[in-house]
Amino acid sequence: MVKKSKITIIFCLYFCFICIPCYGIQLMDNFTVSGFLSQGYMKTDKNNWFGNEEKGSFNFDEYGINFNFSVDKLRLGAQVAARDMGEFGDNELFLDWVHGDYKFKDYLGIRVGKCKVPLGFYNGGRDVDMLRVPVLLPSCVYDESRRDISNSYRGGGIYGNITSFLGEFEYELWYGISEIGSAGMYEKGVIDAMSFNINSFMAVFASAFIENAYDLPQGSVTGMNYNRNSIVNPEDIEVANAATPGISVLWMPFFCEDLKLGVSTQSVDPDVVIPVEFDGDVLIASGLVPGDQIPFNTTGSILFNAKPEYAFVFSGEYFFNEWVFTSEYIMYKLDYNLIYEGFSPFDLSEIEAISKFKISVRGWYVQAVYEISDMFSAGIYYSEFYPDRTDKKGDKLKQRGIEAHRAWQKEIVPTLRIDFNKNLLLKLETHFINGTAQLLTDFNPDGISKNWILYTAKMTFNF
Amino acid sequence: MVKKIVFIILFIIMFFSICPASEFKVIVNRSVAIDSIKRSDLKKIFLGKKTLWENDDSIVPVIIGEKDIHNVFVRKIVKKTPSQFATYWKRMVFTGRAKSLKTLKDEQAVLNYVIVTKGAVGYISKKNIHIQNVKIISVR
Repeated sequence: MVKKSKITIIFCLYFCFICIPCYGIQLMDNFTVSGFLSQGYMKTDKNNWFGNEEKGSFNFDEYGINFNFSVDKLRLGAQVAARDMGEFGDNELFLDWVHGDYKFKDYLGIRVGKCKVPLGFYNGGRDVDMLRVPVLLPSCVYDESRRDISNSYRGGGIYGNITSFLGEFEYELWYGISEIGSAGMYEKGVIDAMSFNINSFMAVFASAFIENAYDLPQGSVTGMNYNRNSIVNPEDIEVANAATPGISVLWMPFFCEDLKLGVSTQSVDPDVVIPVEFDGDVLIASGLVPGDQIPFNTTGSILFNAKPEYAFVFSGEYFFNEWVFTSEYIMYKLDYNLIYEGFSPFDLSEIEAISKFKISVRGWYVQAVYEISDMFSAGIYYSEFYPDRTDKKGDKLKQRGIEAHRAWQKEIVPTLRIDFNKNLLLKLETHFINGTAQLLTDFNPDGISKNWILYTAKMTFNF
Repeated sequence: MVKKIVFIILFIIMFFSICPASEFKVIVNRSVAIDSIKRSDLKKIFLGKKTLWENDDSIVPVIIGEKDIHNVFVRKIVKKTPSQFATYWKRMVFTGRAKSLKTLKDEQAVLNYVIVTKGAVGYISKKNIHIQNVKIISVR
């Protein structure tokens, strides 16, 4: 991995001295090729976010190349990319987007194929480092665990630009399939959330079953003892593709051409089937059974069956000469059932009460970016994220024995961007973070700290 | 004291609002049936939002690699800094929204391209070049 990173850096330095057009290579009048190559580094003082950043990680890169071919109103294009983000991506090539685009009029075009989801200002270009000043987009809105469901769709849509007395509107309506795929951070997030549920599930049933089977008095079961990693086998998890319609509207009001307001929404309906094997001990009150514990084993599967989930992003951006001010707000509701199969000899009818979840998620940020000179830009953003808007202080989590700081994540993030030329840039960034709502338990087996710092640096070459 | 603060605020606003003196002409291919264009429409063309002329012919915008005139044009017409303009187009290209803008190295190349390309629109400085075989349009 280190070898690969060195090669990337050498490539960047090599291209630093070569003059390549800023707007892609134009092989012919109607055929262009563009590309990018980024290598980053992440280091935290505590906690792991995407993998193993506490020890420092070069597993943070992106590569991509695209072509565009156009004839009159028809345009064909495709982009192939690869990325590595901690434990995710692993530099496997994927088709980022590929589509045919026909524009009948400026107010009506049609796009068919695999397209980027226009959710918020930055979702479509979230993997392309040079399109922004920060290294990491505000995670409150551009949550890495949602990337798998909101990155792109396979389907079609219409789009256009309409000018009226109110100003200028850009719209896009689409319908398609979100290819969520397995081994992504979305799947990992579901497993992490489910682990708490599995605890509850086992606690309820082991109590009822064991007490009955062993003729023990009520309240004899005092706890469970098992290794969470032995419950779920990630390779057997099935993640279904999900239908995803959506709308995006941008408004540039007539009274201020430097202002851009937007609202975008995406509905997605993801299902995940998780095989579960419980192998552990049920802890019994002292003196009732030999050794105060009873070994227990059962297997089954849990279907994480989500109802269509509607994510809304409200966006605003204001340009003032070298300044750009941006703010976005995201809201969505997770509404899902857990459907259990197997788990003999448990009586599954008794688990209705812990099978339904409704959680409203909220996040927002404000950002200011200033272009100091052609070479230097500086930016800063503040963001807040709450996975359950009814539990912003973590009181409910505390009642379940979970640290309160898992209920929020607040970040202050200053960035310096250095553009050495049109093709090569370097960014340096620090995240001062309070809260751990977006961290996965699986990456932090030794516990999670409430206050932590993430340092990032990234170099990008593009043409 | 209040006057002083107002003066300072006005000075800051004026300071940030100053654009370099502009000396460019907008040129189009002779096939384009217009004599003038609104600045807002020209802005839309160079942002890839307006892609068709009134007669439904495709618009072919071309930008110039020479920094001085390009910088003046994007600041005055598009109301963005050159860096914001470049990032905007990169976003369009890398998210699959458009193909790259045609970029030519100097004014003579732009002029030659606009002469021979149906629907083309570009900009060149008012000096240093003899303009012929294209239509010069005014910006309203």
